[in-house]
Amino acid sequence: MVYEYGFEAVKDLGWLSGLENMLRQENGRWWNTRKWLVQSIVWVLLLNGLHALVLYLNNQNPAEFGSTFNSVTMFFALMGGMTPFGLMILTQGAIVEEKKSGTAEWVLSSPLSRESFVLSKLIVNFLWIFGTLVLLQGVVYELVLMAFGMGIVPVISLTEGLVLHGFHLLYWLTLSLMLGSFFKGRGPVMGIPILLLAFQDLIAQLGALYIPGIELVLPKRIEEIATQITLEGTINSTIPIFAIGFQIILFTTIAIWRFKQEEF
Amino acid sequence: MFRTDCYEIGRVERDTNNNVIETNDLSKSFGETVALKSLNLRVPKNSIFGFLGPNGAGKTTTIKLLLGLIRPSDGGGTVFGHGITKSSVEVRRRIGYLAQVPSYYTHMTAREILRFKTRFYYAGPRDRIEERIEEILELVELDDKADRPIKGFSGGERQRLGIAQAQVHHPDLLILDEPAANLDPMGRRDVLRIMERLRKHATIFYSTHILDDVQRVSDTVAILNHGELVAQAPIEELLMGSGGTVYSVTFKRGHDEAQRIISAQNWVSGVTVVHGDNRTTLQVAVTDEEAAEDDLLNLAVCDGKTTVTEFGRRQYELEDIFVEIVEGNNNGL
Repeated sequence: MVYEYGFEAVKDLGWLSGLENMLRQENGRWWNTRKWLVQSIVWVLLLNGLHALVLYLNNQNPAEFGSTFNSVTMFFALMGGMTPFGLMILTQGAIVEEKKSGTAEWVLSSPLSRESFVLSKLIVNFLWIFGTLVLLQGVVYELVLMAFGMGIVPVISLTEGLVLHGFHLLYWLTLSLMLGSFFKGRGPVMGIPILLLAFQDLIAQLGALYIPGIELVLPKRIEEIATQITLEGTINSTIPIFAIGFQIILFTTIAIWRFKQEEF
Repeated sequence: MFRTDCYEIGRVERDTNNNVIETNDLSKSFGETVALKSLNLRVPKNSIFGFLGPNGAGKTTTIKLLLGLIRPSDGGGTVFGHGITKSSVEVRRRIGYLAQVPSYYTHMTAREILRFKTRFYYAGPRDRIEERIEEILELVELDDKADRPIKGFSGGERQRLGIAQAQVHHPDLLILDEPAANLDPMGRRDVLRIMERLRKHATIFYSTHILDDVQRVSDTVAILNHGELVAQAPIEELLMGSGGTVYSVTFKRGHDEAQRIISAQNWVSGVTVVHGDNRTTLQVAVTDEEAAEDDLLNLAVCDGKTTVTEFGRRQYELEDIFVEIVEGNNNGL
């Protein structure tokens, strides 16, 4: 242990220098500002509130909508459609804003590696978004089903579905961070993923003319698999999972590489 | 014209191990714009090193290169023997930095900012870290505002916080980019006082265009113009000037005859006449200081018709040197 002026010096972690401190700081953005609480409430109202409202309106005719199958399908459709937008709003400024405001310059004048800077954004935002936008919603979802007297979804199946949905969100998060490392404004960081999200079906149709099977590598397929595994406990193909996993690694690598080229 | 050649860096190169910063042909271009041309800088250990230059001279670019915030287009350098590009994290471990326009996370309080900054360097003990933070907050007189979000801080308070965060981890080298630029006279005085106090423990490398401050606290000075190092020397050496030794004689009346007599001396290399309010001053450049000290005043009053009100060796101000060097360099471009 190295001591200077009566202090224990931080260990040299090479390319992960400063990661622990940055993780703590990024966590503070969620915890100390109560962002976690606000997001939890907002998404409970948006996802489970909407789900509960539909169940309430159809309470008189459970056969029409009240089945667990329909409920799961609707819940995952809502999550798949809404949470990526939420994620983009929450993380659009993660890198861009730090570049613009000068705080990136400030923290990078400390013994902080650029890899640690990007990874801290990725890890902390993902964990909190997964916690508030996905896991918590799953718990509340089961409570809503119980409140309406419907059978709950098996916990393991639902957890598997939620984890896959988290994996889907990780794709959008890494894409957002990668774009943030390239651009100086929020516009493209928000705009490009929104266009991709909105036109996935069109891309799949047009792309299939030239690249057969392109639909398997688009993030939308993960949502379908998440719904399927929750309902049936099995999945037809693992190709989309590997394809999205590869893209997540690729986006993260490019984000770090590009951020290392950045001049402040 | 001041002799810039006498300030060549070779003089300080003799003791390279004693240099904290060394750059070798360090250059930086932004597209077509050359911001820094082959900079060879030597910053001695435990010095207060004033880095001067007009706006756009390349001071901030140099600082950012040293910190690894930008990459050199050519050349390189070391800080404490570590390469500024390959071992940037190692370099930053020993540096405290205050940016020209400091930015912090606005969701944090001053105490949280100092705690965050400290944890890049120290893992514990926790109590000792908190003690150090309290100590620094008192030093920069922010202890009463320590737990307020920094959103509401004034420019001076932000600058003081900047100085606090730059030195909270006892850096061996403090790099300050225009530390007193946005401060009132009291704030400036405080900053200079802190710098003087820190020189015992650290080397201070700071850029500024406030020449009075440099003259007050610096021991070594470098002047940058259009991205080029045009002078580097200890401050006393620079203040001696290089236009030869010049004596100044101020007359209340009747300087003509004295001027003729003085100009005729073989140890006088030139006389410049400066007219003021009811006063005339002769700036007498001499080649023999001893002769000047023995005879010049006698010669000035020898006709019995003159009244001399001031006499002495001319003391240069850093501003004179700076303007002369920079203008000379501009004319030579």
